[in-house]
Amino acid sequence: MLAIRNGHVRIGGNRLLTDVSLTVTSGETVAIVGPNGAGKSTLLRALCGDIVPTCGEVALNGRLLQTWHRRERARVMAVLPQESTLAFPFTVLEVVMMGRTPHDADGRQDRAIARAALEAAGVSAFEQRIYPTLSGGERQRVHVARVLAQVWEKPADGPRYLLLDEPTASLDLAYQHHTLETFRQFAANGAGVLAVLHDLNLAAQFADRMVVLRDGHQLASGCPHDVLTPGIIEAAFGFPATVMPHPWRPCPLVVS
Amino acid sequence: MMREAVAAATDSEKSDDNRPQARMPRQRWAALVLLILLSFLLLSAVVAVGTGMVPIAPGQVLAILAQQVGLSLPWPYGSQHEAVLMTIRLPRVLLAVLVGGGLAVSGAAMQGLFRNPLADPGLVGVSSGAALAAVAVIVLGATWLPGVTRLLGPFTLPLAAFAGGVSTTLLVYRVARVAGRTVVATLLLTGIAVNALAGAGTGLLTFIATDEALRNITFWSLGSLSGATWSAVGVVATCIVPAVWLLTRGALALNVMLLGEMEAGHLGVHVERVKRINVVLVGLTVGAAVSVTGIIGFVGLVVPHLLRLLVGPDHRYVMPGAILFGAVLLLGADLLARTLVTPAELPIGIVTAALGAPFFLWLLMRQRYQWSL
Repeated sequence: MLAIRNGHVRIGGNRLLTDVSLTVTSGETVAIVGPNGAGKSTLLRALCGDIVPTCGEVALNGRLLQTWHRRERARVMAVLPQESTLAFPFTVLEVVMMGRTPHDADGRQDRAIARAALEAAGVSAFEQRIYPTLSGGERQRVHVARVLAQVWEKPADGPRYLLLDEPTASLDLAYQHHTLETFRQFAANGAGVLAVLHDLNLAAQFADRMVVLRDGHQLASGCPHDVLTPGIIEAAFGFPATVMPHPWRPCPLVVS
Repeated sequence: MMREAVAAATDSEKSDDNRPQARMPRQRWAALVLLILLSFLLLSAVVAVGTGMVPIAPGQVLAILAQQVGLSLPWPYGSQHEAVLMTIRLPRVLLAVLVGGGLAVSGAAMQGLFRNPLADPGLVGVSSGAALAAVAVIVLGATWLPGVTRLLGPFTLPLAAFAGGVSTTLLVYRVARVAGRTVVATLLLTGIAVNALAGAGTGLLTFIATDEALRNITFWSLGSLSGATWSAVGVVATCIVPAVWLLTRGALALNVMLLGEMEAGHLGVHVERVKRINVVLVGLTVGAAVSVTGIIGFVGLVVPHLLRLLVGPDHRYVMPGAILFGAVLLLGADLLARTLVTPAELPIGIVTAALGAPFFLWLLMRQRYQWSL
């Protein structure tokens, strides 16, 4: 279980997060939604250890996050950044192999895992392309493959987690769904997946549970049906929306 | 990993690189390049120790070296040959190898750490700090610090240069460190500011220098391997060999750092430690090199670029390759420096800059060699 309990983050005089509690368990997909500047990325960064909460604690598989050794932690938890600046001409396969760094290996098995991850992210065909020559969406999919490769195998000591900061931001319609489906399958295999998402409908389809943030406060949390109501959406975004049942998926559909 | 060998050598930065590839894996290609560079190094070392006022044939070189370990080879040589080789040429060639390899691998480390292909070892202040200390000794040594100069004798200048280089590097690193973290951009800007400050000090000392001191300053700031003695080689090797070995061991972490510091942290890399280790080791390596040879430009900047063109961006191949290539380059430059205008000697910095700068311009003008800064 990955959990933050009563987390507060203050940087300078700004309260970025106020009393937020969230848990991600094995096999579960959780989406963080909310308007710009609501603290979504801050929450993600607190959960992965980039920011130490001013108050409150973060625990990973029952141990306080800061007591984990970096490398052990990296074998259990992978983080997909919003964007990554890699200007050096590595091949796509080399970039995905970097995901295997915490397993300190460069062997045949790691290469097989990297290839499987490329396959899962739908970028097998790019294996030998030079990373800086790819388009934004293609790069994003390479990093999806990289984080999948990082936590490909189940660790011996508890479940693994994927933390995703807007994983679909630069992807086209088909790959938005394909990528989120890949992560859902990962969750079905026992991983806990947490994603910051902008699109409420994508979030509704993806998530078992949703958390709505506004101004660093936790406005609501629960399954998509409970969270995506016109009242909560208007309270969070200050914009009216209509919610109806999705015509063929078991989740709500937000029209605004 | 499957890349056509030649394509890997020349097209790594090609922007439309999407043709199907097979043939030679990058790793095997890199291993081949390293092997070729190693044989180049051995070849140029034999040529370099044999060339000069007293020519020594390769066979004689082997015979003299074999004699040192008690073997006898069938090539006759005179005692003059042995004296020249063992006391003049061999330490000089070894110094060129150590300094060239050290400067080049330091450049690779800095470019990786700063994620910027324009970085060079001087960025962290080591060259300008060493220069300030060296110029201070040249200008003030006789008048202000006669005791020190008398005590340390000929070692005063290298010791001062080494201390100046390493302490300036540590100063830059310390100033750039805020709340336990070093922001790479701050490190870069701190380096620029400290370089300017050291430059001002050097300028002031140059301004008050006597004509004789001025000439020494000029020679020192253009670099020369003419100070090569066995003791100098021993001291430089003691600093450079372990530092370079540790730098190359950090190659994988440097690769991951190119993804970004946050990403490297998520992949289990101790980012602050990688930065600290690299800055300190580069300070040590370049400080030791500069202390004996003066400032030799362009090796640290150009050689890593060349290696990336040859073997791709992976530091696990770039760094060993840079060591070998830097060594070959400095050997060749020193050979030119001491043979072009015999019996005089050109400062080696002139040779490396005259060769390196046009090459660098050529790199910049190639359209396919594009970097986002």
